[in-house]
Formats: sequence, structure tokens, C-alpha cells
Amino acid sequence: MSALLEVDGLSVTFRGAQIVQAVNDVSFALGEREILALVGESGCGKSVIAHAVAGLLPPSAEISGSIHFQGRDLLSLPEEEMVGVRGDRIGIILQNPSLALNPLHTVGRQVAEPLRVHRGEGKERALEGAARALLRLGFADPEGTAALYPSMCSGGMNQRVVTAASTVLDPPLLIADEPTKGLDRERVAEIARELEGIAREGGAALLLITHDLRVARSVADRVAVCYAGEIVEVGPASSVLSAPHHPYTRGLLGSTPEGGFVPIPGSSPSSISPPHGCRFHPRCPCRTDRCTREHPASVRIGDHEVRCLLCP
Amino acid sequence: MSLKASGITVAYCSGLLLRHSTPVLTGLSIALERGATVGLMGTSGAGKSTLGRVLVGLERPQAGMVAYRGRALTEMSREERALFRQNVQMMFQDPTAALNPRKTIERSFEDVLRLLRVPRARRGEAMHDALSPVGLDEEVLSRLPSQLSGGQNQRIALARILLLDPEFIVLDEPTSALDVSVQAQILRLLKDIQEERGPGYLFISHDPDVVGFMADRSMVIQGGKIYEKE
Repeated sequence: MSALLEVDGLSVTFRGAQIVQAVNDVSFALGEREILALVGESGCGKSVIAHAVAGLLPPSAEISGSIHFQGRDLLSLPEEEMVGVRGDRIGIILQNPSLALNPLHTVGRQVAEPLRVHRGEGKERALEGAARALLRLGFADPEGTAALYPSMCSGGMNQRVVTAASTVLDPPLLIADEPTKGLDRERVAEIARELEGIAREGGAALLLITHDLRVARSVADRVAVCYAGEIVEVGPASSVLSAPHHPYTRGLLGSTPEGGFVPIPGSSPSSISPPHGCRFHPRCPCRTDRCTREHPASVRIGDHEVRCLLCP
Repeated sequence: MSLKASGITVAYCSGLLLRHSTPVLTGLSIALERGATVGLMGTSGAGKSTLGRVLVGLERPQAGMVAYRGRALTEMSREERALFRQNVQMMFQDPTAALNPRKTIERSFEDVLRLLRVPRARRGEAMHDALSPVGLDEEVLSRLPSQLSGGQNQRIALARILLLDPEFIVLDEPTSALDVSVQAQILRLLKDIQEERGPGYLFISHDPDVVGFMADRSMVIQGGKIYEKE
């Protein structure tokens, strides 16, 4: 599998009244047609990684490292070229459809917009394309749906409209940022299946940002586990989520219903003053003195990459 | 000691002159006992939170009644009503919305202690007693809710409820906005508190696994009616 996206040594720092190191030395690769889930808890930096790939970080962000997409370094692209990549080659599905959609424009106009902006298509042809995208997303009457305004659709319908707009150009890379957050269990399973279907049928790779391990388990080929701005374990979804090596991944799985709701002691560290040594050591049941002093590098164990001094 | 709702009917009115009525709950009954947890499930909009608000007296039903210690809420004297308000509490999904963003945690706690007429000299001890079971130091008292994490704020909301030492707590999706490891901490904490202090819970959630872990018996609201879950 050749790499479509290669992130190498990515670090993101926000400088304001305080210095927030949101992401630290993150590296991963995403193959064509591959689904990679970036999992972790609030504030672990997973959305910042996704926004860095999409070129959506605010100017206050200091970014180092490299992000190569189809062989081009996205971090060195001027904004006007990045606008051409984003939306056309990289589709982004945001978390809150009611914020992502313009309430004053019809659904059809919004789904057709990428065809007009990136492909220069006329209104009629773009609307035909939008109707096809809506049909693919399961709308039985795409022309009728295209005439609706977002306020006339349910939350679930709007989520599918956002997905239709993001996939209307068949981009080779889709980024979905917490597409299931705050939804009922039934809706979560439905959205996860839809996303997987769109990626697999459209031949796109999917970078899925989620805090939901069940979603990661059900759709992803590989899983990267984030903690305090770093990827602490990455590998095939089936083995990372069943036989993890990193103590944090083990703790995370123990906190789930299947793991018996056994909590990880303590709480996630602040990004302003992360702990010295291993960032997980204050909460780690296996820590040694060395963990408090030395920052671990990633090591390969079988088909996993693990950032832990105790491994192997 | 029990908290009972019987024949509860709630409908929301909308449209011109509020002529359009949408029934949410129709003739529904539920009972809570001290030391036990009833789980309440249902899809979004099924009426789970509405029933919770009716039970704590935040919402008045169109028909039916809520009775606490055998007395209907509508027939209670002012003193009985005050006792009911102290002993039947509700914990919400979003702790930041439940806490005043302009007040430090200490001032939020003081509001409760003042209402309980706890002498100033004993308030520090009362705050310590409420914070200790939720695993927080007194250091948090000087903070604003915005300076704490979601999980810490949810613990603060719970500690504020514990100041009142209530007999019943309606827990409305208390962990659905939290991360998985924080969720596990809060669920274990709620179980420990029930074991030590014995409050009865109505645990509202859309997650069957969470309800299965917490509840002694589970109910489902569907189409305005309530059913016992096997």
C-alpha cells in the first residue's frame, strides 16, 4: 500500500498568554484507500493534527515537521494553492452539521458549491452532480432534498448533507472530525457504516478522528492512540484494540463497558506544562524511575509502534 | 422512604395561540427507593429528561402526581416543599451549564450552605466533606469552572449536590459528554457514594451498557409510555 499522506515529526504550538504545546513530534502514514482512526480523549491533540493536515489551523499556530500529501509538502504550499487542495483533493466532514451549513442557502446549492468552485461547472450541471451525491448518501428524492434549507432537515439529514458536500468531488482523502460525537448509539453505528461505505466505495482514504473506540474498532484498518499531544501506539485496529502494548491504551480499553469500566487514575495533563519524562508516567501503573526522567521514542514491537520505555 | 410519580402526562404546546399540542409522556408511573438505581433509557426526544424534571419538581405535569414520603408535591406545606427540594436533586449532562461561570467553586458551594443555614465557621469543614468523596482537593475551591476540565466540573456538580446529602438524585446523562476514562471514574464514584450514603438514583442514559452497569432495574420510554426492560 503506497502512502497517500505522510506526517513526519509534526509539532504544533499555540503562543498566547501561555504556551500550549498541542501536538509533539507526531508521525504516521496513511495509505491509499486505508482507514486510519486517530483516537484519544479531549485535549489530546487529535483534532489539531487533523486541522494541520487540512491547513485549517489559525495563524497563531506554530507548526514544524512535514505533511506530504500525494508527494507535495502541504506545509510549504501558499494558501491559494492549499485552497485548491482542500475541498477538491481533501474532503473534510466537520463535527457539527448545523454550524457547517449556511442556513440561508439550499442544501442543493451547498452540495453543488465544490463542483462550481473547483471544477468550474455551470449551475445546472453542478446541481445534477449534487443530486447524484445526495442519492449516494441515501436520499430517496435527491431533487426534492436539494430544494430544502438546512432548518427543514433533521440533524441526521444535515450530517449526510455535509458528507455529500465533502465527497461530491470524490477526493482521494477524507478527514472526518468526530462525526458521531453526541449522537445516540443507533445513529453512531449508522454514521460509522455510512462513512466506511463512502470511503470504501469511492476508493478514498479516511482519517477518522474519534473518541469512540467502538467506532474505531468497527470501521478502521489501523488505529493511532493519542495522549497528551503524542501518538503513543499505532498499529492494526484489530490488534491495537485487543492486545495493546502501551499502558495508556490498556487503560483506555479497561475504561470501556467491555473492559468493566475500570478507570485510569488521575486526569490528563495540561498541554501548558506536560510532565517531564514519559507524559503518561503520573498515571501509569507500571512506571519506573526512568519513566519520570526520560522521554520515550517510538519503538517497533511486531506490527505496532509504541512510545513506552517499558516496551518491549 | 420513596419518591413516586404516577399517571404523569406531559404535552408541549406550540404554534399560534399554543393550539398545537405534542404529547411527550402519557399516564406514566415510576418509583424510586433509597439505595437502589433505576435506569431509564430511550431515544433522543423520548421524554427521559422530561420525566426527570417532573420527578424533581422542575416541571409540572398536565396530569398525574409526584409524591415524596407519601405526600403529593401539590399538597405540601412550605416547610415540606423546602425539605423536598433539599432531598431530591438533579445532576445534568453539561456541568459547565449547571455552574455559574462567574463564581468560584467556593462561592457556588457557599450559596448552598447559606441556604442550608450552615454557620460560617462550619462551612469549610462541610466543603471538605463534600469534596473528599469525589476525589478533589480543596485547591479547586479558588478556581472558576472554566479553569477546570469537564470531568472535574462534573465532580464539582456532584460535590455540590452532596453538600445537601440528598435522598434521591436524578442523574440526567451525567457521563455522556465525558471521555471514556472519565466516564468510568464518575460511574464508580456514583456507585461508591450510593454504597456509603445510600441515595436512590434515577439514571438516565441512552447507552444500554452504562445503564446495565449502574442500574438494579431498567426501564425504557417509548411512544410516551414506560416499559420494564427484561
